[in-house]
Amino acid sequence: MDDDVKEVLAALRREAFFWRAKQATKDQLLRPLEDATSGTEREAVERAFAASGFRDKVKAFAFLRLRSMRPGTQDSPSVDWARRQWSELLLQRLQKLSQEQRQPFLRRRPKPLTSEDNPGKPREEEVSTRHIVDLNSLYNLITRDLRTRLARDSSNRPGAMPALGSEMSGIHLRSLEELRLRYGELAPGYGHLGVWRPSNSWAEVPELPEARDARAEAAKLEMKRRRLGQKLLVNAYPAELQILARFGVSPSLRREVWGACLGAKHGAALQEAARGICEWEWLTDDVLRLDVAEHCANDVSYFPFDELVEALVLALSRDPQVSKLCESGSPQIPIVVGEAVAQRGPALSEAVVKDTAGEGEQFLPPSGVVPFKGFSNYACPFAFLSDRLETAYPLFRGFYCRHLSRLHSISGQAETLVTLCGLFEQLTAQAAPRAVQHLLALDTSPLRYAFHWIVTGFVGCLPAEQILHLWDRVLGFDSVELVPVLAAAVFALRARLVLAARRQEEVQLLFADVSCVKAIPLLQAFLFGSDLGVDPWDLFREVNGQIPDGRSTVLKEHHVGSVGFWSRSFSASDVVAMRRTPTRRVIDSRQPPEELLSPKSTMEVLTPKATLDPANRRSRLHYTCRIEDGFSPTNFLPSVTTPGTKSRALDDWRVGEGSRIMNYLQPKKYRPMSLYGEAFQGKWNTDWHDVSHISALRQKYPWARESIELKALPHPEGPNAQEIRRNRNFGPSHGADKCVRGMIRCGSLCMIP
Amino acid sequence: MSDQLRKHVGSQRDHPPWKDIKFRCAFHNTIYDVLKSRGFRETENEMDFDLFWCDKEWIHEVFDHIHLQAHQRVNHFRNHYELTRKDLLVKNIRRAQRQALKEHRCSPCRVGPIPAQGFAACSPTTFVLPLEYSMFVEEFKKQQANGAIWIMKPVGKSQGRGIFLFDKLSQVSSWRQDPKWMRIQKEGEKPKLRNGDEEEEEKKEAEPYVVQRYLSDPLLIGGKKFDLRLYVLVTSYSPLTVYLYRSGFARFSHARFSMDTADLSDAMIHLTNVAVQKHNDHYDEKRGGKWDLHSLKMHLMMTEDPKKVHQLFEDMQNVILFSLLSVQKVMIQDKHCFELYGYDIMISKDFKPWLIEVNASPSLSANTVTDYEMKFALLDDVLTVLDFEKYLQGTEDQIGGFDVLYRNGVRVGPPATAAYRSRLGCCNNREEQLRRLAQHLAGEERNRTPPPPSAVPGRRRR
Repeated sequence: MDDDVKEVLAALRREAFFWRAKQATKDQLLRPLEDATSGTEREAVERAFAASGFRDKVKAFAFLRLRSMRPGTQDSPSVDWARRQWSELLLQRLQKLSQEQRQPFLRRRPKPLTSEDNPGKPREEEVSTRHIVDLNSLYNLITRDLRTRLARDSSNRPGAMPALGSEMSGIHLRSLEELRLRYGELAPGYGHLGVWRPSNSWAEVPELPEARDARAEAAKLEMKRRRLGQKLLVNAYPAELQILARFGVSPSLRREVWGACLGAKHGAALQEAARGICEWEWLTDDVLRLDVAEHCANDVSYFPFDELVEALVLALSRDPQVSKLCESGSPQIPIVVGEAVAQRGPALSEAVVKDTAGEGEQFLPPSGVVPFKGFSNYACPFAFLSDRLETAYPLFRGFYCRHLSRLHSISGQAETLVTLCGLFEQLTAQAAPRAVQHLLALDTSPLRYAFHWIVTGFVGCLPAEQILHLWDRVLGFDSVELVPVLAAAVFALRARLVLAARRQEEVQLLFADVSCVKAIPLLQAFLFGSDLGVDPWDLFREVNGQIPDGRSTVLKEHHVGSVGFWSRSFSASDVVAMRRTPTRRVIDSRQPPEELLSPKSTMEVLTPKATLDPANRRSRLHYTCRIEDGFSPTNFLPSVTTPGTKSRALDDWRVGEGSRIMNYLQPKKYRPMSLYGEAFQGKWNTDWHDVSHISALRQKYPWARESIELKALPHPEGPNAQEIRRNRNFGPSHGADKCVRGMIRCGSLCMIP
Repeated sequence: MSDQLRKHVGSQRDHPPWKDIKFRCAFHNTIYDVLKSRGFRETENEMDFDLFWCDKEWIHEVFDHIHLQAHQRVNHFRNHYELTRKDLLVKNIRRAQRQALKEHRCSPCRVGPIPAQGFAACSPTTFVLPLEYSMFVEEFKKQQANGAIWIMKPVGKSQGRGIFLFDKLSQVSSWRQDPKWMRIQKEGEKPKLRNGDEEEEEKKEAEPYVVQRYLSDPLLIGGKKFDLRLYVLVTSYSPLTVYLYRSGFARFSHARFSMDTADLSDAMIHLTNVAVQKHNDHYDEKRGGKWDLHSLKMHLMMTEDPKKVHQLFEDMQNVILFSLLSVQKVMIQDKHCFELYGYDIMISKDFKPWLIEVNASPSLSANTVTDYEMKFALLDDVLTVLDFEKYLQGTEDQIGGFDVLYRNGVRVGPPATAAYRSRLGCCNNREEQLRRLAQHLAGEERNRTPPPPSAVPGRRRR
């Protein structure tokens, strides 16, 4: 600890403002004040220091400095191996690309871009290039190669595939319970921005009684937060601002709060990075441009900013500070190449993968980060955040170095890609074990679908607003762990659908579009749902206003015990199979049997002849008794004195049903079928009526006849032979077209019985 | 979708109300899908409809010669061109401005509901060219010192056809003195028009132009120019009833904006119409250059002072109201008519909205999936507001994505203490709102009709 303090002090001494602060404090001390006599000397110095106005600045500096001195962890050999493997792969690909393009790593731009060039026109020349590497190879490296190597290394447990993360680098992965403690401030009890969207209600001055509903609360909260943020920004102490960011930052303050948290300074960084952007061209430049064109320019939220994003990523790739500033170390082992060599022809073997650049050597590209496909996604939200390059770039660089670089760096440090993936796998296994097992049975894994969410930090998957809310929390809690947690939450949200999937493509389809997800409510539901004794997804749906009617009140009454909604999931083919049962019973009706059969129920019927219009003829029958309540086989005497409640014999049909073994072997097979109308079989004499009025009506409403006869067949496959034979007179007698000589009309076909 | 209303309110009625509604539709795009999806029936009969979504020509040719039943609705007003033709709009706004000034002068103590400067700020300086040429020249010479640029638009055309920019008077005077040359250039593919002189004469009369001061410092986002398309539904002009849709979109020009003289002829920079932009080589089918209004508002809130942004959206709402109030007197009220307007609004650097033009039949065909969803939702809400199924009570402040601005001639707005005064560009919570509305209405309906005796369990038990 003392060493830390010493180091911070040494760093402070190198800053000019420290000496100015010292001078100002001295001046304050020397100035004669009325109350200077009270207290010890130390207190007097403290007071003078506070009065000098430099305290906040020194505090902020010390905080950021201390933050950057967090101890790192040691790499394990296998992760080291993967790290080197990845860099080797990148170098190999780069060389291949360079040969293909006939372009050296670094070259003077053939026609330098100048400001006189017409900026209105898009650049005319078409460059054909391709991505250096895509996420698939990264995924394969992490899961397949790294795992097999680990399995080989740890020979003591043959056959068992090691989990990512903990077993590799000895880093402890937080379990769900630990995460709950760590992210306690995310709990739904606190006021969070980004849960209700505040723009939905008039933000009224709080005293007014009308503004009672939750949305008005949210609007008030937003105003309150903005005022608080403005107050905190006066001091700009990062630690305080980070705590503010944990509860969400008001959009109008977001730029400044992020800037203060990241300690991003304007100006110098960008100038250094942008130097030579017009004259010199790296091999990766065109690749980055292609990436921007594919990702940013195609995104619905970010497409107006494609030029800005291009400038941001180009500047970042040329910023030599980046690999030093990255907190988890450089995302990959940089590729080093001699400066002279870089400009020579396309074939080069001199480039090597090593950690430091010697004299006359340079990283390739200068930032040391070779872009993968989708790299430009990182810059998009920053362009959205501020329209100007000079304010967006420091934010981008600061955020990238602190958080985003972790999302794709393979190293043994905590919170890097390997451990994040490990955390995701652990969480999914804990939250949705059946779905994970199901995917494993399908020869795939949850990580395959969540990998690009984690690596891109959800950019391009969620809408911009949600990304910014999520990154607020990432900044506030100072950890990217929330990204895999959200990924696990999304997976768990769709776990039931995953169970119904039969093939890998179906799973892919499930996770292809997650743009409807609301990041913060989902995180809350995932982390704290089961604590509250509520089904977490109902909490999520309720928070989002998606809960179906009536359920929400039920939910509030149900705050005791976790209520799991259990249902077997049917696939489409199941449903088709269910419809193909050969025999039908009365209870297989369109209306649910409870409603049909219980004494409380009513049933709609068409009364035959009162009026001709079917709308008026529909009347409602209420069931009354057939057998009295007191009836039982052992008690023959009818209870005369107490009529009791009356029920029907079929009320307890479920008992009989339940005793059938078939119902335990396979799901119940109900199909929709209406009781009145075309499909009713007419089993008894009383079911047969004079139908002349019906045929008259059908003449009158030809459209209704069409819908009855052709569209509303209960069975899409049509009736079977037995049914056709049995019903061959039904159609004609109910007013359908006469079929000649015993022909049966079946749908649009005529058949001979 | 109006599922919620249908589920909650419709299911309580004996006969599903949407079954009996018959429509005719002159278009085969989103509006047709919406009408079908609501369960309305299409009819071939010329006159037997509840709703006819017609084109403007039908209104001009047929509407005067027929008699409609009380329940029948048509989607245009008879003289909608008072608002939607560029020259008439200018005329009406100017007259309303004069009127407001006069009223203001007559009664200085009374603060009028619409201050005159509101009208002035509505629309950029505009002249109708064949008529007001001399006035225009005067104004042009006054403005020439500060390098003003003007834009010429044909009155009757849409989708960016025939529009050009100029900064020298010679460019227009040559056009005016020699209309033949202009016409040959514009309609060079039809040489037969050049034969008959009378035909040409007619053409000349029929081609009035509007000249407007070009907005040379528009607000740029990502260095690109954009304009906004907002949707406004007017169900009646007297008393005035106006609904404003929350969503809308910003249309971006493809190229970086510049005011260089050399670029004046480049349509890709200066025109944001989709019809123009889609001829660009780099035009992307998938996103269509349309940015959601909510995204725009969010971006502005983050980059600018939130108060200014709220003020901007309120001003936009006011501009819309000013334009409608200025034509209110002229418009022929007809209870069969309603109209969905597409407002084109631009924003200048100083956060001031400018009304560019109003479309009576905004494009309803969509070019992307999100665009389709947005338009589908919009039209579905239009039909909900029109309330063929008789669900509503007529006192709702928000129906789907539509917020009431004016009802029965009275301004409906937020309370005086609200932090912001317009819901334009807020997140469109229509589905949830419809759900709540439906539940509320179902409750009301249930209260009106007592349940059948058997549904009360206590009574049955007796």
